[in-house]
Amino acid sequence: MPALTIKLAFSLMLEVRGLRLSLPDRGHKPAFGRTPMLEILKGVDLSVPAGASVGVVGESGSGKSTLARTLVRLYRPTAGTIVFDGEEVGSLEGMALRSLRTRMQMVFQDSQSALNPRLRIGTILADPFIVHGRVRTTTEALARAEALLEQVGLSRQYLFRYPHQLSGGQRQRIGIARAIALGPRLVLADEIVSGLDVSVQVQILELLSTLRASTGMAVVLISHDLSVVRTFCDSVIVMRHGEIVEAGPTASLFEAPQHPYTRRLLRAIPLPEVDPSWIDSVNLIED
Amino acid sequence: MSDTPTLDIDGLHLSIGTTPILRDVSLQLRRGRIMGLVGESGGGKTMVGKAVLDVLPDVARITAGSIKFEGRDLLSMTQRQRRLLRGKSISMILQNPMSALNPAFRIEHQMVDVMRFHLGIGAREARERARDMLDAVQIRDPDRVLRLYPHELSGGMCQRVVISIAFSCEPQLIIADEPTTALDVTVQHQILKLIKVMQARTNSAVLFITHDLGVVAKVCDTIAVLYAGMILEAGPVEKIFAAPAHDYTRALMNAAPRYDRPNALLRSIPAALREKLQQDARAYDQTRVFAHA
Amino acid sequence: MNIRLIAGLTVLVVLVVAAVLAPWLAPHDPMTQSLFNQLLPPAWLAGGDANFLLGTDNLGRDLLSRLIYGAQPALLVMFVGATLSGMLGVVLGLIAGFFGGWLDAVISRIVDVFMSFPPMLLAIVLVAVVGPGVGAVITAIILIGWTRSCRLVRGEVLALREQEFVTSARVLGVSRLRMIVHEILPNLLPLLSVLFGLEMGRAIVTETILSFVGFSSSSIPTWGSIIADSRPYIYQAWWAMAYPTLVIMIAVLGLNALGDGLRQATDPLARR
Repeated sequence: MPALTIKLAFSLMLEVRGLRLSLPDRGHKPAFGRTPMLEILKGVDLSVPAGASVGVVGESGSGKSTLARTLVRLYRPTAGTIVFDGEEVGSLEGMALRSLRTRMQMVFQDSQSALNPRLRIGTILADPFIVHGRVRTTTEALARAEALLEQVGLSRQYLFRYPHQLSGGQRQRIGIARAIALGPRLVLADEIVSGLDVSVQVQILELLSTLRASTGMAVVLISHDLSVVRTFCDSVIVMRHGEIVEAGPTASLFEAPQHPYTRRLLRAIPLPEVDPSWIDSVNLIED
Repeated sequence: MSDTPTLDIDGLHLSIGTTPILRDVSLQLRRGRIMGLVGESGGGKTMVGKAVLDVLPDVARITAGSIKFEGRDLLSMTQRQRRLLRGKSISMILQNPMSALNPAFRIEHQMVDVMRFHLGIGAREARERARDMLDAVQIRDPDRVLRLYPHELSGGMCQRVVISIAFSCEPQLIIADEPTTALDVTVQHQILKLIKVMQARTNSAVLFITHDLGVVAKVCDTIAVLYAGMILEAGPVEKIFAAPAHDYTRALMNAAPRYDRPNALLRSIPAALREKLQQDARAYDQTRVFAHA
Repeated sequence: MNIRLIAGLTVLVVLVVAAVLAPWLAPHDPMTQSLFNQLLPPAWLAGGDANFLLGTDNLGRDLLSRLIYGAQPALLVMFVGATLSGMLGVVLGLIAGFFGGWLDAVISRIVDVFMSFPPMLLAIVLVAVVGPGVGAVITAIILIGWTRSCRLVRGEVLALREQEFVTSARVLGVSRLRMIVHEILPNLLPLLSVLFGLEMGRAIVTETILSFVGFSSSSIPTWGSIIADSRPYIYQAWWAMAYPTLVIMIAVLGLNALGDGLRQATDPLARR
């Protein structure tokens, strides 16, 4: 549908076409010679309009996390294009890449390891401002850090704490605060609620929604949890083995899933309703 | 005999230092039944399983109550008696299957070892049985898998092996602590089905510890809800999912997003409710202090 | 209460005080020989002299004074040797671990070569080339010591580099230098504390051995040279060898404890 693509191009903030990525396959490294390459992303297309929330779902090994990491350019794509705000960012280097970091940020899954255990929260949050020269003094940086804390619903006393003194939910708030510090246009959230209690999950996702509404940033939510994506995203892509099996607006994809894999995924989710037949409802042997 | 519960925990009180972790926990589990023990992290659900298995951390102390297995008081048994029960009559399935298996040994070695120790059978017979068990957990090429090391298996495959080991001595009781939390949904479904099938085959009782109400609704017969070390509500799943009596159970059900109800208002558990429950817990601790005085 | 830190600091303070105040603390000149007082036993043994608290050596020199003065070269060697060998090892280890690739390959192979060479032989060859003296001893300590810190630091950095907070810093656009200084280095502090304590202890031991084989020609007695001088008289005067050995052991144990204590003190995870 080239016509449609052209029509939408002006409103699309991020447009990914035919994204491929191969990484060295360390598991099969021979004693001598070159490490074989393994293709993780096999031609991914993705469009994110400004201010939208897009869900990326899939199981482990589907490449969804690698997709996020490629979009923030932790990896350099093997092929394909990533157009962000009208600029091809797939091959950026050096200062241009650094400037991309102010506009595109990421929140990581494991809040424990994503925050430097030896730095106080204040230092962690002041970092973005210092690194990108947005402040002149440490006092100024700390003031910005304090404002950030408030934005994610934490009081200023946390400035002086270390990450391990916070709960998982609080740490994830810090992760979000750091990501939104420079006012990015797009935030990639990689499994940010897995491992948290459900009641804390809701708070974190709501915080992200509120911030999205107030700042106009777009969010790409990577998750294995279809219920989370259903509740918080406008559109969804379903990934499997490095490919997109189905994509579309959330409501239609969930109400009328086209691909058998999507249907299987949905059926496999145990809803909190007593149903003795559920256990036999899905094929045990993989197709 | 048939009306003796397989697991009968009565008034269990457990503390770490001076901090109470479990407060007057009582639950009964019968043969052939699966009980879901649900709650949030830090609620003490894992400690219940550890107390039954006798793998509590050194700092934990059981200060009151009893744990009976098939009518026998576990807490008055010697370490050796409990060790002999563990693995044979009471076995476990844990969250991380990779760490449950010893990375230094082949699957065969680990399966055969357990069976020879607990069942007193020969190596040849144990190997034969290991093959059958892997077959029963739907592993397609058991002979090949027996020769592999744990790291050569996927998470789902590993958990199947763990399940087959757990059921290999036909235990009366299985403690399953978050056995599918680390797995993908489709794999989770397969593993839950396996646990169900194996449990029916051996007519074991299963204490299924999980944070996921959905899983409880699908595989358990009864449910117990734990918060701050207190059982707030327990009963048959049909009854409690249809009409939860406790505010906390209701709040927990409303907190989880559901793909079939995208527009439902999600509410995290109200701070006031948490505060009230914490107060109850403190009040309970007070009465205990006076009871001891 | 950090008992190791207190014990280690105590040993360190005693060493520093002994070295700095040696001219005032020592009852005798360490070099003054006295043919009348050869091989005197410690004061409390039969035949001991209260003027020579720990006894004398074969040339009648006061053992206590020699031990006190010996703290000077020991301190010099341990501070300069451990600091420089540590710095060299840490910098190269950081570069190898953080940048990887051919840099890592080159540095790691150099470490391998150095480690495959018997360390004492290396030191002896070096001293033979440069000529004896404190400078040569320190150079030897650096050449032997840097490989250990380099390898340990490289391993630790490799593990740290995989941590999500380093990735997070990359996504933030943090420069590589800032990443090393700001993200990696603070996490190396516990390792470096332990390493520094161990290396200071090792420096003293290395100095002892080199002095013992006669490669430290210094005007001031070193603990190693005291042991070497008294070796032929071990059967008549055990004390002349026992006390310096004891002093060395206490110093090394204290310095190791200091490293451990520093690790505990610098660990924010220990704070609640």
